[in-house]
Amino acid sequence: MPTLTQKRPTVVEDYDVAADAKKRISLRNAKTKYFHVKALSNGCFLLEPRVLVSPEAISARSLKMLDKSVANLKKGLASAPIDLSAFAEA
Amino acid sequence: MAFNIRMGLPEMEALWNDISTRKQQGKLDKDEEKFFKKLVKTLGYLSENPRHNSLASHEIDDLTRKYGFKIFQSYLENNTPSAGRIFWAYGPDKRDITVLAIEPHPEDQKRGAYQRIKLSNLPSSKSGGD
Repeated sequence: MPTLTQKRPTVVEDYDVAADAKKRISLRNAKTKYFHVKALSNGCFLLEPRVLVSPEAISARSLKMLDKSVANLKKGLASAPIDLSAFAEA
Repeated sequence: MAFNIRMGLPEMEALWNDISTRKQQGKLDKDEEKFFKKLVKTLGYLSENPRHNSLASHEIDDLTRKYGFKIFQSYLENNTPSAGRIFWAYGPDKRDITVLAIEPHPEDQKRGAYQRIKLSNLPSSKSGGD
């Protein structure tokens, strides 16, 4: 039976760097453009790679809402027709 | 009107009842007011012509496969999917459209907004659409 093992990260670069006048540093050979930054109380900064989510993705809550609505629609259940005339722009 | 607009049960109906009641009572905040205006405009277009250009309505194949009938998506704002989208389907009766869900979910603005699911990762329907 195959088992999932997560590789421990290894050190691939080890260097000292100086922040510039605006307190910026450059990351060498960074593989992603976006990072989540955690500033720790001891002065350390922890960077985690992040990727942007496609705008076509759907949130877990919306998907749950969709699941329930579809289940009811399959049974022929939906709300009464809504009246939009009350909200029509004058 | 060409189509009756219905809301999916139970969450979409509850959302509509809540927001429309508060609109009539003048209790919507600025963001909700803006959202409601866009929603009403979108639903108006949807009832007149689901293929209206402003809606950019299109079928979402992943969701259609998952649920076993055609699920469409329309934008609340022209050409801006991130501004909000509604998911809808034809039915339950002829000349009916049911709004199934809304994105972003109103609760997403409060917490857990990053719990997003890529449509290509949706599990396929087990029954093939019962």
